[in-house]
Amino acid sequence: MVDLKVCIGTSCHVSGAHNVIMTFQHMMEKYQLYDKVELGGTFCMGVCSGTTVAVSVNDTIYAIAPESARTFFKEHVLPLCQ
Amino acid sequence: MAEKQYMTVDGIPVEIEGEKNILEVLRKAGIQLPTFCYHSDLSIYGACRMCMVENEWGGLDAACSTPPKPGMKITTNNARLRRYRKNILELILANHCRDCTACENNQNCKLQDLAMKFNITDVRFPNTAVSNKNEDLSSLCISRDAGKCILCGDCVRMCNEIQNVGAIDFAFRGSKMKISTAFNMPIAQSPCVGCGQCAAVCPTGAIVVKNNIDPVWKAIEEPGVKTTVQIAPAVRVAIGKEFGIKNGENTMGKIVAALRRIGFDEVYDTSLGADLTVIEESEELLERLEDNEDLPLFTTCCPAWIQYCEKKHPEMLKNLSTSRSPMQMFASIIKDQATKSSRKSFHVAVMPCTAKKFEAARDEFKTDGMPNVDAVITTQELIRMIKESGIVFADLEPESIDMPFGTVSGAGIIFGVTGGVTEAVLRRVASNKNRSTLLSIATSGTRGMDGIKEFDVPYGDKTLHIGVVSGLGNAETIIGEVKAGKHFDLIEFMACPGGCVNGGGQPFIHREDLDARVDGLYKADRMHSIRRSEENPLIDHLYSDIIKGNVHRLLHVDYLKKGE
Repeated sequence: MVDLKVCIGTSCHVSGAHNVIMTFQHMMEKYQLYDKVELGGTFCMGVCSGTTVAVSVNDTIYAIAPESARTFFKEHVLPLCQ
Repeated sequence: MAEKQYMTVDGIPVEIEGEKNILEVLRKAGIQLPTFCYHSDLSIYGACRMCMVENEWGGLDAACSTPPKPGMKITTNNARLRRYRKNILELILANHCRDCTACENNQNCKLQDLAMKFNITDVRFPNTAVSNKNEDLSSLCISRDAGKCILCGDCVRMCNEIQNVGAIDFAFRGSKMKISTAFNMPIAQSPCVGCGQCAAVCPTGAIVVKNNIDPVWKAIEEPGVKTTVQIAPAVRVAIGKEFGIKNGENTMGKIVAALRRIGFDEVYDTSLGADLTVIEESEELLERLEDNEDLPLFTTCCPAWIQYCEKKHPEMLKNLSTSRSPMQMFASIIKDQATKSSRKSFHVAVMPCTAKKFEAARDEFKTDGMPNVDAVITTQELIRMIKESGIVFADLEPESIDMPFGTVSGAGIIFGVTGGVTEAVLRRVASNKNRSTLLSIATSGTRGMDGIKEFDVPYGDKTLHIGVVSGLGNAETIIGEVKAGKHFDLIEFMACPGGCVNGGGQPFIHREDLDARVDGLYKADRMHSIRRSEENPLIDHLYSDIIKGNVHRLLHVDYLKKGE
């Protein structure tokens, strides 16, 4: 099970955390990954930048631009599901 | 500074400020001349002759088709003009079904109104009208009755000039003249898209909204049937005026209370369906942008627009979003939930729209052969049901919609006005969620009553070129531009000029009164604590639980597959 978390703290919220969650949700729906990925929210992971959203994949923390959420999912989450 | 110019109306000087015709000058001066065929949005036709005025030499001019000139002297009201107007009314009434008490438009009819104002107590001529309410039952959206037609041509000009549909026109000449489809074929087989704008401008009951009230009453009164109802955003700002409440006031709470009293078991807000549409359509837009495929994305909330695209531009169907309309998204979730219950379910949608009646009957939106929306009633029909029930609407205490679908966002509410869908999608797509971004989206070009709006918004390192269109004639213009190679990323289409607030199923108001409805929706949006669809907690809950794994089946549709 891939543990995928998106920060919904203040900085990430304003930087589009919900956009990232929505895109991740749709990728999970598209590839039917409900038994392979667990998507959840979390609070500050200490990488706030004011423009990016903090995402953790199996405890590895990334700071991503919400526009790149789809690419990020394809590159960092999808391979772990195969 | 240019010198002011004046004309004299009934001995009083009135300034001319670039008006196209005397009628507009007069309305400004506080004189409302009677008219049947004049609508400020349509071309001047001059057919009814009710707006005749007398010039200083005793000649008669039709105020609607005479431009004002400085120094002009006219009389609008004297014995001769009143006699002429009465004469015209009598002649129209001689060829008009006068069973007013059994007419759909009773008390909502310009002819009835003017007959009363001009004190018509007797018609000297024999009545030659042949009324037939069942003249053409083919349309699910509108009903026609030639016996009530006064040949003002408003419907013809609306259908041709504003909507570019061309389903109806004048046929035959002289006393045999009538409004007809080509070769008198049933209207459902004509290019008609069901927008209902003809019914909206019809001054009499010759074209009316198809009445679907009876099956709704039947379901409410049938034991063992659970009746659920959803209310579209634009309804809440259009209904109050009919009950003596200020035009454009948001009366959602009262509507909910009224629907409960009428007997509905559960009352919901279509704005939640709109929130789902925002999420799905945004995701689709981002996906298409990334793949650079099938751009521009066309919105698909408006069923009349979809029919227009199917009938006139089938080659563009691939550009349509596969997201269902808010009404259908909501309905498929309601019906899916109902399969888990042993109780029979009957789902009603209250819409500002006549075309939704057609959408509800489409095969794409049926489960096991039964439509997900069992009945669509328009705002006009809801008003009648409330009156029929004896409910004193103005006195109702506002109530709240039901759980579990009781949370909506402001983004879902503004779907009822042109540009609203785009604004809602931009709120979702924008990465920056602070207040100033929210406010700047509102001023980016989405708002306003212009028929065609075009603007750019930044997205990441890209710039999105966006079009917002209302009125199908304007849709034709922008499709022409797309075909000629002009680039757009997203285009919002609404068939009715101004969007759903001006829908064919709404109580008719003049264009100048429309702004109040629009303001009512934006005000409702401002008053919501949740302004963005993706921040609606219910959305999260729906995706992670209720519709999990079934998003495509429940929320999407492929219009391309039709007929395969």
